[in-house]
Amino acid sequence: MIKNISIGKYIEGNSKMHQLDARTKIILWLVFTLLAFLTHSFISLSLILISCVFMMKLSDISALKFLKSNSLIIILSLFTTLLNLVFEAEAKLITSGKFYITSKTMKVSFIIFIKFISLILTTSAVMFTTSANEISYVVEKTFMPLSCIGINSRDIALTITITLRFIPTVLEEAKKIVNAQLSRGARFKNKNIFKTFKACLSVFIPLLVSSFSRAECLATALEARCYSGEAHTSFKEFKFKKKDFIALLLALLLILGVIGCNLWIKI
Amino acid sequence: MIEARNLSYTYESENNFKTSAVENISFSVNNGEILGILGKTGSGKSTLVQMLNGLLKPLSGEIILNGKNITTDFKNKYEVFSKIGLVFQYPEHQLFESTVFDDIAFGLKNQGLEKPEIHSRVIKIANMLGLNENLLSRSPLSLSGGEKRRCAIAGVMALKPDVLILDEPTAGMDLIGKNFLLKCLLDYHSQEKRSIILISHSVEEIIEVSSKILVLDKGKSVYYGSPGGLFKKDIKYLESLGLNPAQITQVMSLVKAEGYDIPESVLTVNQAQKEILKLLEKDGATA
Repeated sequence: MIKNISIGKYIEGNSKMHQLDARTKIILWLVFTLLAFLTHSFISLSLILISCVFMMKLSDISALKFLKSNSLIIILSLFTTLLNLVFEAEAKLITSGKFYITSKTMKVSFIIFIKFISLILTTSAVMFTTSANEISYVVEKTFMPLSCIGINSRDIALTITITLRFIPTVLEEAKKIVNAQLSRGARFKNKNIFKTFKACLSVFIPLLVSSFSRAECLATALEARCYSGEAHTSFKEFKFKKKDFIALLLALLLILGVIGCNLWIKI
Repeated sequence: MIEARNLSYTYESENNFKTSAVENISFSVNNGEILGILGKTGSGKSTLVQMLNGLLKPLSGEIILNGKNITTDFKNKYEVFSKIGLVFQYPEHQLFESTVFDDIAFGLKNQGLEKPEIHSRVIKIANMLGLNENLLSRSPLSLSGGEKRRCAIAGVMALKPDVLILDEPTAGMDLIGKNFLLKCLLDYHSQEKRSIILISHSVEEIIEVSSKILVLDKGKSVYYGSPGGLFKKDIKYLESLGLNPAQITQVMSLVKAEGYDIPESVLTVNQAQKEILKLLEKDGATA
């Protein structure tokens, strides 16, 4: 479970998605997420889902990888869908004991499931193809206007980069500590809830301690290298290319399509 | 006694790229023996020990503890963990209780032992590892580096495992701390008479304490036998394995090259002292 988390897991590659400018990808991600949240019509959600699958295809990363790294969220969303399906007061379609399924609950649950899957797919497709450096660059540029009220966008960007950079490290460390505590007698599966709690503490406390000491080291190292949060140049230049305009155009088409579906087709 | 038979393990990376970490390794450690495992970084040492206490399941091969297969003949993995104690690299990173005493007693409490038994075991182990009584009520995080390390090791030793495995217990310690820890380890060994597996990349350390040596290179076993036999091999070959003979061995081989009559490989300072005294006596007799 721990090793299958997709956040901060950039996968090296040279697919069409990789070649897009990070800004384009973030905009795409925003568009997809907002659309998936805002529409409830079946047909427009299907449109979004199809576009998400298209995006996944363009990233050249196997569908299996997408499923694996999101297995936990997918199970969770299936569970929510199931709950929605069973607990809803409407005319009964199928009844089994206390539980029953109605046409409306079926539709609602299905719509929620599609929303979840679309969100998962876009987020993974963008995360897998955008390196932490690129994300921090986008954040830096986006928050640039805030500098007039005294907020340094470079600091925000750096914080995000460091957070993303250290998620896998901390997970790795957590795994190590779990193993170590297991071998010195911790029992994570215990009938006694207090003992289970204690066993979990035996992981959390060392993890916190090491994270704080790591953060302190990092801060000192930044200072030692004269970090001051001032503007700097970038080794990699970010420029919008033809591909980016095509991608944005497609996104615009999708927005129009979804609006059109909502206006004229009622399913 | 613990026995490994033809152990293999393969890691699978993101793109289904397989790297073999451990290949076909066999050894056995009798009660009261110390096995030293040597090898460069990335030679598969840590993978091997994690298989030994059941954290990783070997791809093929089996591990037999006192005649029982650890993957099939035990009720659950917790039972294996209590019989085969593994001390990880930098064990001080796992300390978490509010006092040193509680930290050492953590595993014992989980085993459901009686309070007086826990108390006597903790005191005994703490004494053996040079953690005196007034340290026991302090927070483990307030200890010095060496004390923290010994406190963490004490937590595993207190469980009285049949086999104690230590993964680079002296990493990052200074010479005094190192020697003290090794002395504690030998004390434990002579009192408890159980098997110990010690992993290190420091040849001197391993030679000093081990009764048998296993050398790993790229996941394969390249030497398994007595410490003396290892340094009869070609020095270039040993260096390619990342093993530099102990300084005293190097000095003595230079002395031998000068034409003095010294046995093939001198491994410890004590041995060297005897040999040199012998030489001097002989010189005295001829002069």
